[in-house]
Amino acid sequence: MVKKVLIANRGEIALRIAKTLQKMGIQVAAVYSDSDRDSPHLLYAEEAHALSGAFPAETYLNAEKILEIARTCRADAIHPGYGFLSESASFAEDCAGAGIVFVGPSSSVLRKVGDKLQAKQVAQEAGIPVVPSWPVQGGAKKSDLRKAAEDLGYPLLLKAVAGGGGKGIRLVREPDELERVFEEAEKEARHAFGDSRIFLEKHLPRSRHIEVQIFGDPYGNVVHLFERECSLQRRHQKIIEETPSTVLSFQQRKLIGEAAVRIAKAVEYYNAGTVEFLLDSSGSFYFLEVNPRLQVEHPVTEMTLRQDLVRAQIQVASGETLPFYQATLKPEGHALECRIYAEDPQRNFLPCAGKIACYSPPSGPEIRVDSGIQEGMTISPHYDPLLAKLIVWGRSRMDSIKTMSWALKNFVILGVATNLEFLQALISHPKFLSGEIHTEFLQEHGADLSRREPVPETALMAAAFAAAAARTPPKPEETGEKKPENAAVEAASPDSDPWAVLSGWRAF
Amino acid sequence: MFQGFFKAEAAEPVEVRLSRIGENRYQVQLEERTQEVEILPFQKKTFLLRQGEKTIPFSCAKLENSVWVWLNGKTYVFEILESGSQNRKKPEVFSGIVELKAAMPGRIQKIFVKSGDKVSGNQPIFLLESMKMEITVSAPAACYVKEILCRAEEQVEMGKILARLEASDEPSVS
Repeated sequence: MVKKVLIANRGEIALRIAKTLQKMGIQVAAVYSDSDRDSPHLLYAEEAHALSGAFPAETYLNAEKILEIARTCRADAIHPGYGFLSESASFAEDCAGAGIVFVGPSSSVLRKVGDKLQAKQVAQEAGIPVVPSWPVQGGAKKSDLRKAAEDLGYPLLLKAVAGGGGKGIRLVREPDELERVFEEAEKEARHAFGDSRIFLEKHLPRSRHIEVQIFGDPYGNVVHLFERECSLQRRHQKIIEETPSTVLSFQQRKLIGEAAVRIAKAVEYYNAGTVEFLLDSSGSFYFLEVNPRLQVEHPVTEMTLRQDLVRAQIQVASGETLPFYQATLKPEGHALECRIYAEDPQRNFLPCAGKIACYSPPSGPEIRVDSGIQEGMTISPHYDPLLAKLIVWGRSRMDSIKTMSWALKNFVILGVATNLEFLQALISHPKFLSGEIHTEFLQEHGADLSRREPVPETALMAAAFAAAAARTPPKPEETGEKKPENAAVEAASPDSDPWAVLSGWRAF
Repeated sequence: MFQGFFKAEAAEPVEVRLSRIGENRYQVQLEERTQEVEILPFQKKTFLLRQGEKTIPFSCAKLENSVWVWLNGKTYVFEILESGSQNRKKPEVFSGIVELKAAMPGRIQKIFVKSGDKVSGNQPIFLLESMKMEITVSAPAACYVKEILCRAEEQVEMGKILARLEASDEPSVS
């Protein structure tokens, strides 16, 4: 078993990985950028190393810096989390070269599935239908491009071959837009992924995004851990995920799981991964892509199967065989996850920065909060605005929706705008309740979800009280018992908590 | 003890007066109506508002010039305005100088105008890059650009004044 793992990530996933590592008795080394000095993930690490700088390129994407820190602190493994370096074949190679275990698949697997066109080829060879696409060859003529687009049919998608995480995708509605959007897509791809290759993909309207969690070990064993449905998205970013999918029959779940395993075996996949499919409106499924890493929404799988996927990742990375057998993986109940973002739904989901003045997540049986924030910290504009994931389990889908509704209502975050109320409206929408969801749900029903209600007088009273309390600071000459309003002042002031300040090294 | 105008987003400003009349007892005046309530501390930043028979928990925090309140599953942000009747008008046309501020920290990616330019309402003035998104900062109404107070590629903080706009018929001599 590895003895010390460096987590090359931040926020909620770094915290979540650290918890499992500590439970396993493994030493945790964390890294943090200048703007993440107050991040709670540092509280769950035996060592915290500074990555000086703020931008991702100089910090969490800086493979050299991270490897140097791993070498210095003698970590024997690096967990890359999701995003950042998690799909970097060259980083995985560098780890191997340095004798450090990369928690994930091998660099050759990363290379193979990282190329979306190659991945489709693998799926086709494994006998699985793929979403029709057309690769734009270098030196392709404009007329070829136009013809291919016409053959696929409009609207269609332009995707980056080296893309991932829902980025680098553009919709082309009409032939007139094609050339302009193509140029923009190439530029964006080169800037974001260092590879300007684009391919055309058919757009399946009102499709459902169904993905299968797979897990392999280096000895050739691969299992699937059933599916997740992630159809509720905005601009290709997932908002709500759940398992099981409301639209698949038991037979379909089995078939899609087996298809995913076939693809994984074809590339000799090991460690955690996800195979994504699209289900069109007629119920046929098509392979979309492989995500060779742990995904944001993995908790819903953990809740229904009662497994710890990070634990399994570490076990497999340490050379052990898979800790699960397909025959004994039996999911129970229903799990739902809502992603809490620092964005303002009333202003077109504008991402928000600011200081978290009050943070109080809901808790209870069947409620899990994977959070990357704490009170007193500042939300930085440099990273993804994901604040926390709220996951609930219920015996039935309706039970989980009721618990989620309660949990969303009782999640207090003050200081930055969040999508909490938007999520409340979304999960109470009749079409969500009936399971009639698809990838264009928000475009269709968006208007229903942004109604503004009048401000109740109780909220105004509360606000006046808060303003009044903050205006009367406690007098220094006051001794003896505190007046109630002064206790309120301390409570209402955001800087009153000495435990909100973190220092670097914490020796245990 | 406290008197001021609270303005929630997209709502009219409301005048509120609050004064303490006893231990945990307050008199609150909202517009014309006055009532007595009890507000008890409960947990850190959370209080119980007792209005008649009802007990309503709420959480609150004051940040600079705004107050955030969580109450009954909803979050409210109130801007505290200085008292004065001009707060009651919704400005569609403004007079005098208006400061265009950065709504969030980020990097000035593009500046579309220069000082002295005449711009129309909603005309883009700046392109700000923040949190992997491009945000256009536009003119609130037809006006003149009096001065630009930032540079391209500059990293700005939330609240930084980016430009001063003037709403007179002729640009003033600066």
